[in-house]
Amino acid sequence: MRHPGRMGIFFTGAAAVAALYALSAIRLPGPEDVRGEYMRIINGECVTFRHVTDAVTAVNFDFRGFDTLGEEFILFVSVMGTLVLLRQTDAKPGAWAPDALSPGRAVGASDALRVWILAMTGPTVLFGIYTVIHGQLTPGGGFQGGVILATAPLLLYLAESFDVFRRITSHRYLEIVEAVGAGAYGVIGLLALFRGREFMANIFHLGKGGNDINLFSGGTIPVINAAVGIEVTAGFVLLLYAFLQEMLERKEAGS
Amino acid sequence: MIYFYAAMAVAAWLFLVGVYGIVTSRNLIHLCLCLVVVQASTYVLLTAVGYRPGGIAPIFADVKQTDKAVDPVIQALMLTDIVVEATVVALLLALTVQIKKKTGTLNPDKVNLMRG
Amino acid sequence: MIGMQLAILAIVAAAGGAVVFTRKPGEQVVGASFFGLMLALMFFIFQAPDVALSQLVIGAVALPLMVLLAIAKTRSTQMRQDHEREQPRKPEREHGRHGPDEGRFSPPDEERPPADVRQPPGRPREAR
Repeated sequence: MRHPGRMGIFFTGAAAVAALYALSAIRLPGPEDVRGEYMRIINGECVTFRHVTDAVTAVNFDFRGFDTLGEEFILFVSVMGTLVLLRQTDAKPGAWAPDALSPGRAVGASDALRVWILAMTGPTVLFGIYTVIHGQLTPGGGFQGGVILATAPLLLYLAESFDVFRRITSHRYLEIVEAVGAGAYGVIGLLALFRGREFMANIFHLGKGGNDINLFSGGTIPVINAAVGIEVTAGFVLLLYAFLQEMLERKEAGS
Repeated sequence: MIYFYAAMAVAAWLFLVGVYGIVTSRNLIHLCLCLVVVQASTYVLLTAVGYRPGGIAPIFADVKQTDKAVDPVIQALMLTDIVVEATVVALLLALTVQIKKKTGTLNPDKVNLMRG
Repeated sequence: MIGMQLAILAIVAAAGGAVVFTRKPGEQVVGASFFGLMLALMFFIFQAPDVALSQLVIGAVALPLMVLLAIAKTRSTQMRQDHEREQPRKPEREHGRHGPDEGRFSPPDEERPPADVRQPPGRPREAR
């Protein structure tokens, strides 16, 4: 090791952290002793008072919607920072390495394999949309479905070429879509203020009667869920686009 | 009960081994992946804290609503954190790519950013 | 149930250690992908299907992909920098050597060598 002092500091600190952690872990109350009223209330409320069956989504987008708004903007700012860092000023499409431009052809994948990859794109999009819009009923939601949706254009890149990927995912419009998705979350939260309620209050129609649970029940939950899905999809496609473009940057002569 | 202490121990192990990897890393990409391990330690800890013995998943689409569900609040925390983690790691990787371009090395000991 | 929980925790601990102690990033990515998959399985066993789905798409797909692309990019940068070092150093090449987007951030009359690693033997780093 070039820095012997560094390892000394690390092992001293690690031993101290481990000792304190063990001390605190021993004194923690076990899971049987924790009463967890908050958890019990939310598990009870989400079906009866919010008309959704997935308590996790209800917590994310309603009970603790303000926290998720913060997380959403961390995501937004991280994507923005990555795009700024990887911004291309001298990209020349004609000079890219042909191998990386079309990986499927470069490794000699058969036509059958490439057609199969293309055929899987549709089901991937469908499954992503399904995961997003059923977020408040079954496991899933905007965050998970958004990432699934973002992998669909990648299949096109694998089967066809980067040009197809670029045509499908127009950079300029995706940035607008991402901003709209992130902004819609805040706007829905603000709408409650105009109804005289607190920020992020669930002001939309929850559903008829006591047991009316469907795709559109839950008030603001499915709307925010969809906004998050749009934002995450656009954000991850932009990330993949930036990294792909960076990798395919024109190669210098002789390399 | 035993799963709780096992998960606490695994969380501590992941945290310490991840920090060890960060301290001794010779490659910034390796360092980013060590950070992923450190973050995973919080997931293991939160999973154990939120779990109830014999509890079911807090999703009442197919089962009747019951008290014997695990804590949905902690799961919601983890869910957003995982997605945010990925974008933060993407930001760090973009920084790594730029450092390689500017200084010509990925070794954190040799990177001298003050020199330009 | 308890056996399954302990088993998956042990696998997660082992996979996390493997990710850290694999020093080459290209090989590490495979371990990280496996680690993400095992974390997803752990969430599933601990009754958190929402989190498992999230971890599955992030940890096993999105994250390794971005790391692989970053590795490919740094490798091509390395090749370019090696190539530039082999060129005879002419004064008029100094300005355009790093491409137009990098020239703005460095002083135009720089005298520094292009990189620290693999320098020509005649100019050790400590000598400056």
